[in-house]
Amino acid sequence: MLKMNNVSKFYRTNLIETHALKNVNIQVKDGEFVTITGPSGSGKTTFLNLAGLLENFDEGEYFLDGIDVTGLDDNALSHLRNEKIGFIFQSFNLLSDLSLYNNVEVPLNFRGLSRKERKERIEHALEIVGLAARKHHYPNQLSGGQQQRVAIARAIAGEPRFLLADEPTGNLDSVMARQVMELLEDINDKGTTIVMVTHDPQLAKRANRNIHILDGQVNDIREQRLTDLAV
Amino acid sequence: MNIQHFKEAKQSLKTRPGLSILVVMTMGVGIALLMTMFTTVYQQMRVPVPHISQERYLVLADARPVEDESLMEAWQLPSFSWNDAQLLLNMESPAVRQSINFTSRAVLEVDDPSIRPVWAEGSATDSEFFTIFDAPFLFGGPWTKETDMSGEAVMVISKDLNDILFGGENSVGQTISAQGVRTTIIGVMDDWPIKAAFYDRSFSDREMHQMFIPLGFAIQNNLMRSGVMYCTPEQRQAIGDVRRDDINQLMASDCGWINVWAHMNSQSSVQEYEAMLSQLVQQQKDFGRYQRENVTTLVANINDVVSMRGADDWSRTLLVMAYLFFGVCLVNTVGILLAKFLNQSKRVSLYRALGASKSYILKQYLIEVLCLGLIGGVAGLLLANLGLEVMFQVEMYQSDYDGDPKVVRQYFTLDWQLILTAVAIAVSSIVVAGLYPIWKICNIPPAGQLKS
Ligand SMILES: Nc1ncnc2c1ncn2[C@@H]1O[C@H](COP(=O)(O)OP(=O)(O)OP(=O)(O)O)[C@@H](O)[C@H]1O
Ligand SMILES: [Mg+2]
Repeated sequence: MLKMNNVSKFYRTNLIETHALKNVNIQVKDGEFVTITGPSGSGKTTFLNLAGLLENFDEGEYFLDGIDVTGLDDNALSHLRNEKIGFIFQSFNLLSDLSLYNNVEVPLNFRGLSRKERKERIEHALEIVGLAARKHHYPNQLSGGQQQRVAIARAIAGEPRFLLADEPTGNLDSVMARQVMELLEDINDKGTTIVMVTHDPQLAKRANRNIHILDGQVNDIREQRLTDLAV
Repeated sequence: MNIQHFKEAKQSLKTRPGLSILVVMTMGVGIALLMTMFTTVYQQMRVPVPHISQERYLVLADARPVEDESLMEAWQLPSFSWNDAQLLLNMESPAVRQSINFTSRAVLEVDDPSIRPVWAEGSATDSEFFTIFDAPFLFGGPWTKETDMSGEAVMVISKDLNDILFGGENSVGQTISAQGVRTTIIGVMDDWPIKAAFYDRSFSDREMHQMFIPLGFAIQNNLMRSGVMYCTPEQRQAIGDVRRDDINQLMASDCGWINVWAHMNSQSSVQEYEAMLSQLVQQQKDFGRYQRENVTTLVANINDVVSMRGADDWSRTLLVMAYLFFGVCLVNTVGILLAKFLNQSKRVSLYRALGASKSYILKQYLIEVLCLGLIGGVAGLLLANLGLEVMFQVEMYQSDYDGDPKVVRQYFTLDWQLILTAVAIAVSSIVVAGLYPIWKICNIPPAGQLKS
């Protein structure tokens, strides 16, 4: 479970202070597929970054899988990030000088996994996204949709509890976007909790729940599908 | 640290090979210049006979007339007069042994007319010389104490000279003429593991002495004096050519030309020796000699003499410049490393987002920097060899190719200690140069660079 209580985040530059998130209270239960919508600049990415421990917040408290993250040092945070969270970015962020296989391997390198264990996980993850046959190819030999699937494979290879996706379909056409969405739904069906930022109302509707952020505040939580979910 | 950090470092080294090469070259050139000059100074400061230098003392006392106002440090003072040296030898001394010598030259000829005569430099000395300086013999041995002043015509020659005159054969018992006087060879010295001809105070790095003859033989045959002679103009007037004219007049004079060495193995002996030397000075003052108010004396072991001498000004200046240049290279290295690392900020940012800790990034870049330092150090050493070759050629040229290349060469040669020093300097300084770039890259915020 992912739980934020009264979390606020400010950005201070020389001249202005942006209140990117204001007293946010959010709970995401295990196994949920939550979409986040809101206008540009409303704080969606900021929320995802805080949830994924990429940035610190200024006020409030945050429990990731029951762990209070306040005051944890960089090592502990990095470890949590590596173990529990998989990231999917709008711009894929694959390393062009690495093969698909090696791209998926990156987060596994930060754990003390044996070569054999890594191999099994990488191949399994590539299997799931349907690119096992192309593991020796390089990112620039793939279409955008395929690249995003590699990024998904990289995110799930470490078998995290949470997938955080920031507009994963933003750079894709509608056909590819749907494929990626279906892939995420499959992954969610197998138990991984997913939080996805999207601008696409069609996609947003497909999730269990949609959270709308406006001006850094969680304005409105509409339960779309009332599913029984274990806490 | 584990294999993974090495893999990442290797990857990073390869991503901008141009910058990696630039770092290696910058460090290499800096290290090369530094090590060239460092070696030159270091080899000059090398103690010539490390295994005994601690206990072998040079003895000096300032007998110059008051009128001589030239500034001299203690180690530069003139040697003793013949009479003072004799007085020292005859006093009740705490030294294990003492030895005196002066530098001489002679034309040496063998019977075989196919071998050209040699103009050899050497020491006129006593039998203690070989013991006090631990001289190794290849054939035969030294003369006895009785021979010191007897005038007997015997000679010890160096291995080099034996190679030239006798083709390296055992020449003990052979005769050789020195300035036309028939002399018997009684010993051939083996290669002497010394760095410089310290025993005549010249610390010559060009060539070692080739012949060693008893004082009595040199005196009876009035052999030339070719070392440093300190004589006042009046003394020169009286004696004539102090190097070639009657040696008996020189011996009777107050000219300084006799080098005195003492072997002492305890600090208390040294103190007693110093007291004895002051006593000699006081006694001589009564005869109107040692007229200076405070007579400087010196009883210093070879180590101390070497450090008092220091390296020559030219080498020292070049060393300072080499240090400055190295500093500039380091500053440059900081810039190149910064450019190289920040070029990878996107990758690092992604790594951080995917769960790499700061310490993971730190280790990776530290290894990379250490590798660059190591390669830079090795490149520097290769280049330093080139630099030392140039310095060697310059030195040979300056001496009109008069020096023994074998002897001169050792002043421009890296040894293991220097090689390790170079590597240590390269590695530690690149870590210093890498501190800021590494700190910068470690603090790249995770995902901060990933906005589309
Ligand atoms: N590093 C930063 N420094 C200063 N201000 C920032 C920083 N990151 C975000 N902000 C500000 O915080 C607010 C929220 O930004 P955020 O990126 O979360 O918006 P978003 O909802 O993801 O927008 P979009 O849909 O365009 O991606 C914006 O006003 C933005 O300008
Ligand atoms: Mg955003």
